[in-house]
Amino acid sequence: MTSLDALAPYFERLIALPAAARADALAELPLNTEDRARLARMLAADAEDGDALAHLIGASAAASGAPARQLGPYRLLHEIGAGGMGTVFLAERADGQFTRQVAIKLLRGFPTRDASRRLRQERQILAGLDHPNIAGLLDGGETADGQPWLAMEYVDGMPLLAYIAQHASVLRDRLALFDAMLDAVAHAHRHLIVHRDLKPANVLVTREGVVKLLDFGIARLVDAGEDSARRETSTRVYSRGYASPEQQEGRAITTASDIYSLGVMLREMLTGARDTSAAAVIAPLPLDAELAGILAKATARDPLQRYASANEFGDDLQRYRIGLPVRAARWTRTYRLRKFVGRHRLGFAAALLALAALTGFVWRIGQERNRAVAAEAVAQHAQRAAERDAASARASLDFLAAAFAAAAPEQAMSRQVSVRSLLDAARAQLAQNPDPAVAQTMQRLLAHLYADLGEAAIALPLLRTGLDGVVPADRTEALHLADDYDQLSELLGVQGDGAGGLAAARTAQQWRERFAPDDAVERVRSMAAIALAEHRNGTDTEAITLLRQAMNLADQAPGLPLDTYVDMTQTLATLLATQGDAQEAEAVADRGLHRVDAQRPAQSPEHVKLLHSKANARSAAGDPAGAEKLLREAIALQDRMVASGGSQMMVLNNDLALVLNDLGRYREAAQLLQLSDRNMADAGLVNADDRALSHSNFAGVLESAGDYATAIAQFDVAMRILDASGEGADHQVRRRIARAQARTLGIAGQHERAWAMFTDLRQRCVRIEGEDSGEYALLTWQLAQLAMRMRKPDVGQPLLDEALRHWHALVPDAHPIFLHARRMQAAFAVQRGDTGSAARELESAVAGFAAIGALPVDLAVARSELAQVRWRQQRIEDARKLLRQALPPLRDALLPGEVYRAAAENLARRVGVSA
Amino acid sequence: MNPRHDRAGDGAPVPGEHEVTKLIAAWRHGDTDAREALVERVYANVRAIAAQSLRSSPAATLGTTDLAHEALIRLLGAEASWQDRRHLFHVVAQATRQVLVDAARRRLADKRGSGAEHVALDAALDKADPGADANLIQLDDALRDLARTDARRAQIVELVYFGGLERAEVAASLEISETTVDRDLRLARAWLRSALEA
Repeated sequence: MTSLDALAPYFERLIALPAAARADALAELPLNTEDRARLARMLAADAEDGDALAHLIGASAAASGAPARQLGPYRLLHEIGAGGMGTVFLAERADGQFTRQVAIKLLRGFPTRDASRRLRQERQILAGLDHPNIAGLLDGGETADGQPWLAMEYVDGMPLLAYIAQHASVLRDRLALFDAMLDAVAHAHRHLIVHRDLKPANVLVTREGVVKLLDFGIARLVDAGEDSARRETSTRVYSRGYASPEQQEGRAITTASDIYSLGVMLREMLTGARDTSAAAVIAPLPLDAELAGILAKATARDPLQRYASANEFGDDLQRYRIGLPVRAARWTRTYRLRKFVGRHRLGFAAALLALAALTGFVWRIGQERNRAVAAEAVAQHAQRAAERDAASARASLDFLAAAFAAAAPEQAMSRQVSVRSLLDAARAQLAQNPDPAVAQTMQRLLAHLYADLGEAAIALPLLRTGLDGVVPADRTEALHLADDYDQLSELLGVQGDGAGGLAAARTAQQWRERFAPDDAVERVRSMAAIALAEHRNGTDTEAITLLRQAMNLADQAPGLPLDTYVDMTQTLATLLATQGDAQEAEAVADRGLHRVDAQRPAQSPEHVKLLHSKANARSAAGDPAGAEKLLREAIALQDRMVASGGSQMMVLNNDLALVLNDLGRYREAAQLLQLSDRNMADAGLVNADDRALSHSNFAGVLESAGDYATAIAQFDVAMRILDASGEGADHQVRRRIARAQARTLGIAGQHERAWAMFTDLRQRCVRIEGEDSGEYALLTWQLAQLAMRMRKPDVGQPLLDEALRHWHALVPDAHPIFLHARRMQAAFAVQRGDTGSAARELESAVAGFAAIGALPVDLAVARSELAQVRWRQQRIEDARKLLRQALPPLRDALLPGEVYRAAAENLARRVGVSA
Repeated sequence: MNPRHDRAGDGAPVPGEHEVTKLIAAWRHGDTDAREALVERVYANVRAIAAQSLRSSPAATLGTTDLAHEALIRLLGAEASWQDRRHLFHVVAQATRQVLVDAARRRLADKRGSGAEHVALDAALDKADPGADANLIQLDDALRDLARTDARRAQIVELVYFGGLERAEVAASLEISETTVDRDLRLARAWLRSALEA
């Protein structure tokens, strides 16, 4: 088309003429045929009546508007919004005496009859939500066409972010708004309603400042209207920026999905940005490490890593507000360290400080208590190496700077193990570094750090390459090299190569002796390292001898770092206690405490370690009450001096729980183990064996207390953890857990499964430990016990006899196991119908337990068993008397479902004893 | 910009005047994002008013005049400066046109049976005359053709029919005389009608 400019003058001239004259005038114009026809059409159009364009636009526009409608008792007033799920109208109740404004949401799509039914159900559930911060669902129905609608509380308010921009400039106010949101979400979650589409557009703030969450559960309701099998995971309704990863990926949506969206919203409420890339709309507030940690925890990619509930999320924010350490601390720590590395990546020493801190951090949350020392040594080692050789230091500096830069980009801190990624980056960097001198130094350094992370498989080859052909030039180098060989020894030993580990420790000793022959401190180090290698090689006797010598030598080596001394003391005490030499173990711990007292203030982390050793010695000596006292002292110290969580606290709580279990205080023990498990979860990076053991311990205590169902479930958890980490059936931890599991199964009545497990374990035990081992005796005993439960005295009696033969070879005659054996003899006698023998065995057992001051619960169980026999013998009054003595301690320590307590209670009812 | 994909929240009220004025200022200084944001807001607003106005007189041929004026007043407040209003005239006119045409297209698409999954709610409610929608789309196409060769004439049509402006306002907005507005409008209207009838 050409411009109308050419035609315009003619058009104007012609329309000025009377209509009748136009045709002639048109014919005279100097135009081609096409333009003339065009002009003619325009003139004709111009002559028509009315404004056809206005008419046309109006007709279409009329169709665009929503015609007035009545939905149930509501009259639609006007549209107030439209979104992915439907259109929202302001409406009012038209039939009543009062008018109430409501928001009517017309859901898109037309459901089938089945979907309609689901929709009605969902609507009823949602109508149950009653919370001041939730815009409630009032009513609902379907239009004549069958289109579903919902009537909801109308909120005349500002969008959340706009409100914040205008009225909530300070952190306190924003957190208060978020608190109300959390409260609303917690309420909904308690009703098992997940919002599924939390975003700022779904939050309004009224003029009075009241937060209102809109559309609770509506997303699910929309899905309920779908005829799809994937309703639980429907991805149809959500907002990309706020939806959790699982929602975007179409996986199961849970309350954790709402937690994620809340986390994203909180970030936006505080910083004005949804993620680090988006531009700020509201005035950003600075995020400190704790807050960033909280945000990271809430928005963790793995739903299990997020806050378990809106309440927990709120609690952490509350802790933050009043200045307590937040639960998201491990994120926080990672975050701090990342920032630290970021700030200092240009300084070699600073970078190493960061590394030391990182390693310390890994250790704190990690597995073994003596790793911190190693980590510190690594840092010092590398730093001294750098100071010694300027050229190598520069190269190392460049290398580390590049590694840190690669590992710590300014990314969202949803990375769980930034230490690990840092090391991986460093390792990748190393592969590109052609300078062999630098490369080997760094390989050794990295190997130490990987070892601290528990990554022996990565550390070992790195260390071997790093040590290959290296010969020290001077004393300093030789001493560092010796440390590297000690590390190699540990790695080999842990990997099961005991001989290799010993050889490496001896190599370390040789370098030390050649370059520092007169240095007592170095000699102690060598001895301690060889002792550990002996222990890992399975020769504990050698290890103990060496450690005793090392301790004596240490007394003449005042320069020995206290940490090394304390670790050595701990190791020796543990080995002695394990060997059954509880007295010397305690003496060693006391000797260590003495030295610590001289060098440290009255309360120090070293005190915690040695009090712990002493408690274990007491426990081994059969004095759980004394052990409890010491452990509680250690825990209080640890809490005050170090931290209330972390792996060390976990170990302390775990040991205290075991002691309480020994003391028959099962419920207290169960509580502690739950706490310990939480510490472990807080700590994060704990290895599979520890985690499995913790669950198994918990299960054992539950079993003791009589909660068999939960105990079996906990064992299953433990086994799953071991399965996931690929531990085979011969693995020592797995055998221990399986033994405990079989025992519980037997008590819980799953006799066949328990029998099969014990039999399999006993066969493995013969092969691995031998028939003279304590484990074999125990397994035989447990088979006998199971036969007793199965009421098979003919099977059980020979097993019991065999177990007793082994026990006599292993423990002194005064051991309570022999009193328990009498109880078992009595049970078999009863099963054979010989109540006379049974009564005699049990009388001996009761007398024996009373004489040795056994646990109240053991004595009580024996008494209740004797009561059963007396009842069988028709000696009712004797039975009553015994029950009156037995019941209080049983009720004190055991849950009602525990087998012994249950049997005693049952008998008490029959003979009419209430207490 | 398609209003079906707008990010206006469900139930979100109209943003304060304040913000729109700022956006307009930013737009005048060359901030195209501000313009986008503004247009988006205008869409939401125009749609809301369309629903309301049309509901009150469903059979009306009304237009868009009241619509656009109400949009302006709501967005800018009565005391807004002429400069702001002038800028907004264009925005509102364009927005209204776009909203109406999109709605018409959507209805036609639904009726053809395509995209039944995406039935929009407001469309599901209506009982539209498909002829009117087709006509509007034709008009939209013709107006676009016209804009290619006769930009000013097309803009006058848009301001009058979709923006609801009086000739004096159009003249002031485009900085031309009222006579020119009259002449251009009559010519363009004649051409458009002939184009629609062709």
